[in-house]
Amino acid sequence: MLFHIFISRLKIHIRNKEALMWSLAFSLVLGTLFFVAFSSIYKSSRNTTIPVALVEGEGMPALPVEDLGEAYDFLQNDKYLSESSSFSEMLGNLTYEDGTKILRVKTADMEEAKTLLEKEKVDGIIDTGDVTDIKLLVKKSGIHQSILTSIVSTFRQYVTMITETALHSPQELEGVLNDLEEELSFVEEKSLSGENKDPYVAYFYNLIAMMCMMASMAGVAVPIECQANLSDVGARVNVSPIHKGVYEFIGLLAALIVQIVITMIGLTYLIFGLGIQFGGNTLVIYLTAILGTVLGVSLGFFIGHIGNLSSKTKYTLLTTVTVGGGFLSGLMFAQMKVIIEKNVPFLNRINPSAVITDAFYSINMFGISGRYYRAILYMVLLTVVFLICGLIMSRRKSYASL
Amino acid sequence: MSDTVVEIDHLVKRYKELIALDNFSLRIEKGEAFGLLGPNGSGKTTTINCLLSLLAYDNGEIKIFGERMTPNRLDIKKRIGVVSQNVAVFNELNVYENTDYFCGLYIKEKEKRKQYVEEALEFVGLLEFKKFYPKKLSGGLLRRLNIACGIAHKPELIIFDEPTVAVDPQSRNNILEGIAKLNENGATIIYTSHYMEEVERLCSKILIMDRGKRVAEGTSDELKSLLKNTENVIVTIRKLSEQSMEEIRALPHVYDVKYMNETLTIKCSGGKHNITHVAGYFSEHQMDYERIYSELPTLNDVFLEITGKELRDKE
Amino acid sequence: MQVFKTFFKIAWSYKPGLFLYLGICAFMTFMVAAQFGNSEGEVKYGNESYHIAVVDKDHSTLSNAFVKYLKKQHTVEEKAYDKDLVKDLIYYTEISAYITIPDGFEKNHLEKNPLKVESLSDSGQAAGVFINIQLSSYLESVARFERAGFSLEDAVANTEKSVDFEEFVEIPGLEKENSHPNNSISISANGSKLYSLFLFLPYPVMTILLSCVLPVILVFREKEIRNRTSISAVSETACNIALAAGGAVVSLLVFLGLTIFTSCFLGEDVFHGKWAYAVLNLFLFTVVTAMLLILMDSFSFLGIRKAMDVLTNIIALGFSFLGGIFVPLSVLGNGVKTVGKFLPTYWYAVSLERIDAGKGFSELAGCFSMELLFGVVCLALGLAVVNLRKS
Repeated sequence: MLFHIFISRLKIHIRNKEALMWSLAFSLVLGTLFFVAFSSIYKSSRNTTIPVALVEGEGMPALPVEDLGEAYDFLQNDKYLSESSSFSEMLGNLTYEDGTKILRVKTADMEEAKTLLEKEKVDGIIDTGDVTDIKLLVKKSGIHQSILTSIVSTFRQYVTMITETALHSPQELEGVLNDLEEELSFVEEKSLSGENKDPYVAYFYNLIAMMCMMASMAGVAVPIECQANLSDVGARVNVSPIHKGVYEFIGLLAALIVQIVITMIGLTYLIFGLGIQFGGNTLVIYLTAILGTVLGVSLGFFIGHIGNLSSKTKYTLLTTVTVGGGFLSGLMFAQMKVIIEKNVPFLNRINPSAVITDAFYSINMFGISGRYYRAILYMVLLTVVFLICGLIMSRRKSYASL
Repeated sequence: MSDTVVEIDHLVKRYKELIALDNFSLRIEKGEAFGLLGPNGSGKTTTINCLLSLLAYDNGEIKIFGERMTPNRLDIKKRIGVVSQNVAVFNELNVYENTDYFCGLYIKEKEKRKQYVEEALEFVGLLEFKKFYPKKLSGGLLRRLNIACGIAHKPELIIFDEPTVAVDPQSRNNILEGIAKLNENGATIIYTSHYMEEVERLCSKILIMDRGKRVAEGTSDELKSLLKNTENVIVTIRKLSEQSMEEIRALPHVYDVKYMNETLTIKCSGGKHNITHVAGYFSEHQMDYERIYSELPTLNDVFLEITGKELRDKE
Repeated sequence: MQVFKTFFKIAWSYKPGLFLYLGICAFMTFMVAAQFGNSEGEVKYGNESYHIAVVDKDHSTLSNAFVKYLKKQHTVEEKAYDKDLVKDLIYYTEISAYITIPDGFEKNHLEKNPLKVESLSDSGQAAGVFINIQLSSYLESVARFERAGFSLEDAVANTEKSVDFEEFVEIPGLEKENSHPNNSISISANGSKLYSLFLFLPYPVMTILLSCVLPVILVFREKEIRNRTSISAVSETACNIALAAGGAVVSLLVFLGLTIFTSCFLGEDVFHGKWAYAVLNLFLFTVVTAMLLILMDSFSFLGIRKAMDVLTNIIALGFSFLGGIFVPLSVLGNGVKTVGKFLPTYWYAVSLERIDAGKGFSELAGCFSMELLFGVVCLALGLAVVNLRKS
């Protein structure tokens, strides 16, 4: 009998083509839109080589000769200042951590360089005409221009150091120059770990969370269809000899299976169709999505049992929880979740959308670790709470009015 | 063992200040076809819902098959079938699947259930519509499906709550015949309606209610015997003098005469074949008339006499 | 009048959706307003400024000078965070780097193996690279000056002089290309307050109209109600006019409500040129969204009423993301922008950028026209579908 009811419930879900179609449409359409919008942002903003024009000086720049005295002769012959071609090499040899060159240097005269800058073929012009006063010409503000500023500023520091030493403590000059050869390091650079550090992937985590939350629509229908005051079929079920809890459980199971299939289809499209790199083991991602779907269905089950609200009110309440929860977990603005984490972290523990996105985020950034297990624990806890509360409220009862 | 299937004692149900059922009681014996008759808002459906423990009530006691009825009495529910006012079926399942589904809530054994479903569909005349989905069925056929879902498990007590609303005359006839057959086969029937013709036709015992109260109870004849008026003789006649009216009033068993719009209505109390006396009078006085016929009183007349209201709103 | 009055009664029954999306809008507005200080940038050259967190465990002269320097360059939060939260903050670009100055740093910094300042960032991103270059450059420079015999104070002073870009950066004809050059997904880093507050308003406009106005129109398109109306004394045209008027009134109320609420956070900027253009931009967008509803209404025969929640989110989110509402236009790729150009949200965002840059009406007219064009196309398509079905 129970198996027969289960099969019938499955048929009811599968034959409700409209509901299936809209559930799938959400993940497929929005996933595609997100992919179109975000797929290249992070990659394009990764370490890129900055094109820069270098205008070299003719001979020694104007130095305060009378002040420098002997130091002037020393500077004239020093390799640091007389071989401007090595300056070009130095610039060209600067690299990012991953070995990508920071600068692509083109040597040119000022006129040509200005033309290149105007046409935005270069992001800046480094003018070493006066080595003691290296200048940077830029057209606009930007990250590339800021990096160029920092590089030029570093060289200016070296020059300042040398000239100030030459002017005030010429006896220390050789020591300073030798010191410049020594590499100093005061910063331990640690890079953010994680398989895919692209912050825009967070939108896809939220998309999966929304897919799981939309399963709650199927979950809320189960108790609604069993309540005599909300559904004619519910009245029929209430006067039948089947145990209500068992009946609801079977309905829930059938709904869950169908919703899991929908989630899996959506997830497969994202991973294999669009090639989204969620980071982490694919099997674990699928299993996490299944648990997320269980959480979604159980949320619907719980809301479906709340009080004497009409079915329309229950669906509205569910929409509010899913959309509002999605907003707070970063569906519209990805960093909303971390803002909530900073200010009201408790909310992230009870918001089903946030809990689900955190699980996926954890797989990516922390691997299968304590953080991931914590997220799973919260998902399981919420599921259990929703199911138990729903079951408690589903006791067979009479209604004040139908 | 008591033959009383349903006992309702002093049932009170309030919706805030409105008293829907006011110390309402009834008793239904095994094998009866019991009619619950009353105008809209009289409390018929409320009574049924309280009986089935779908509605909470404020006071009173309800017993079915001698046992106190509560929402958790699954053993009692097993023996009851309900055909509700609203069609309660799944749009996603076809006729056979719907019947099978609801039968499956009562019958575990697959083969037995299959047999019952086939019999139920044959009973309501839906065998050829097995694969049809509810959206493709007419109103009448949908009502038949509703019935099939309620009776497929062969319950001992079947409750029909206004099952023929918005149904065409042919389907209605079929439904009523089917219900009568169920009763003949041993099921106890509770039938609620505001159509007195249906109740009169089907039910061996009738309870008339109004505003949550019992108005009258008995067989159709017992109820009608409460009336002073046992027969109406109606004559269509162009002209009638006052004197003639007086003379007709003096005929045996006549207690009231009204003449309006060329129609003479003669109310008789007691006696038989009063129409003969009236026809004889006109013949004796060589008075021409267009038409003469006799009407027996209806339950509506019973209701009207007791409450001063019609059972049905004026059409 | 009956249809018109009933429109509002039915619309009110959809108030949960109205409150939900108004709530989201209010939350966003508060958040954006809170992120802004009082300064409004005029267009001048400046190094990229990020939000960083610094934990100074040393509290020495050097570390204080270092933190002071960082505060001149960036928005600095002097707060320690839990390890996991730091990762979250960097991942979601709430902060670009988390810098820890160890205890004993100044005492030790001239030793052979000095204690190091720890900088956690996404080194694959330009922001991380830039910040690290700045940190290294400053500390190295101070150390070298000290090793050259200068005192710590003089070393710091010389270093800060050398990093003062106004001394050596020249800008022939400076342009501020766009408001959002740092590729951050942070909502706080971009543009002026007016820009940021008005940028995301298309989202609540779309969601409210789709979830509160369109369903009401669709109710009147239900078969039974439509039939009943068509056999009544009210002509179909009169009914449609009443529905359109009802929709227009609600749209107008939504527009006014959002404008007034947002403007409360702008202070003195209200009723000035940029504000007026921003309001006009929002008004046009509201009109365009109303026209979109007409197109969707023409497809009511597809039974879209049952799926309004899903449709609302797909359309509102899709338009918003592709049009540069939630993610700045400057960050989106060219391919995306090409697609986005077909959407009114894109032209809304472009208009707003231009408004923020101080452009006049003649330069805004093109964008406004493109916005309206979308609406006209929706209207035309909608009418075409209706006529096709009738024939």
